[in-house]
Order: sequence, then structure tokens, then C-alpha cells
Amino acid sequence: MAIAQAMCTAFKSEVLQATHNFKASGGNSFKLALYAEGGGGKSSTTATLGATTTVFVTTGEVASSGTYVTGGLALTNIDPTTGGTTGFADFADKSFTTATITAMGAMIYNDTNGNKAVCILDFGSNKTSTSGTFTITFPAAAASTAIIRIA
Amino acid sequence: MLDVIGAGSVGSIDVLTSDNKGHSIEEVAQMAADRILYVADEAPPPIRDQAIAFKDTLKQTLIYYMLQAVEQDRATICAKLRQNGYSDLADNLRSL
Repeated sequence: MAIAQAMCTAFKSEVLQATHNFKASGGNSFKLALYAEGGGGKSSTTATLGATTTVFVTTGEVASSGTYVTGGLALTNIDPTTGGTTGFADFADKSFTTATITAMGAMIYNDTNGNKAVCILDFGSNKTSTSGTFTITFPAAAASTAIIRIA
Repeated sequence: MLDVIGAGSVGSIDVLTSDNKGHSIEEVAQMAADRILYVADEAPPPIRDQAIAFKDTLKQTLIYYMLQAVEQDRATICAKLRQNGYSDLADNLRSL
């Protein structure tokens, strides 16, 4: 599969080196970029993303449309917290409006520190908006569901 | 020897799209309700049922006040349009 959901392996090492800070105030800036498989990406390129991804790449990224611009848009950090023995981070939902987009997945990466990849998100199938709104809704911020979890 | 092993994982996101319009108030209210209250599948049934009922009430309340917010914002825009000589445009906007 060209886009496989995963927490990037390099990210796991970088967390131990304090490369990433998810705090709402004073934390790093994280961006979400959208990717396509086959048609839909810039220049008909296909994204290959997964656990081995280390940094933001432009290959297969969807073209700018509406409020979506290539490189992705900044996410709103929500302070990391814990539930039971699990620590987790969360982001506010993100919408791209008046956008014509077909995307199969996304990458969250650290825009502050060298565009280092955090995780790859697989939508499971192509999701399309036509002159409409394309919204990413993050899972509930809980120990068993949050978007980024360390158990 | 003591080992400390942790596992990192990524949650499941949802993608909501629309064509030639934005999301409906009901859709946005559902997003808000989902963010405010998470009901675990493994919660005890009586607690889960109460939580789901509360979440539905919460969603209906959100829908009501989001409708109010949209109407008030539209009224403000229409007033600005009329002040600037665009009464026809304001009337069209009010009729939506």
C-alpha cells in the first residue's frame, strides 16, 4: 500500500531527543499535508508514505485548492495529557474550505524542527470535496483513541 | 534486569467532505459533540446509555445555538450590505 497509517519510526527516536513539543503554548508548529494515490496529486505523482517516512515530502501531495495550500496548514495543538498509563497528544479538527480535493491520506509533520514527520494517516479510500469543505476530524482525546499515543 | 517498554500508536481520524457547499449545522454540531463527549464502547451499559442520551441532548442544544449564531451573523452582514447600498444582495442573503 502506498499510504500506510503509522507512527513514523524516526519520530519515536526524536521524541526521546526532545525534538518535538506538542504543547499548546510554546510548543512546535505541526502541519497537516494531504496526499493522493494515483490521480489527484500534483503532476499525477503517487505518495509512498508509512512508518519509514522521516520528513515532509512533496511527492504525491495534493495541489493547492481553496484554503488548502501545498505544504499543508498548521494544526492547533492541544496540551498533551495522560489517561491511565497512556500519554497522548491531540489537535483541533481542521477544515479546508471552497476546496476541490481528492486525497487518500495525510502526514502530520513538525514545521518548526526540520519538517520531521510525526505520523501518516490513511483515509482508507479516496475522499473528495468539490468546491466544498474537506474536514479532518481527529479522534476523541482519550487513552484508547487519541491521535498520538504512547502507552 | 528491568525493561521499560512503551508502544506508540496513531488514532483513527474521520474525513468529512461536501460538494459546492460547506458542512451543515447538524454535521458541525456532531463534530462538536464528538469532541466534547467521548463514550467508550466498553463502558458499562447503563452509564453508556446515559452518556449517549446526554450527548444527543448536547447535540440538539449545539444545533439550536449554532443556528442562532448563523442567523445573527447573517443579520449583521445584511445590515452592512444595506448600509453600503447593496439592498438586493442583502435581501437575497436573508432569503437563504
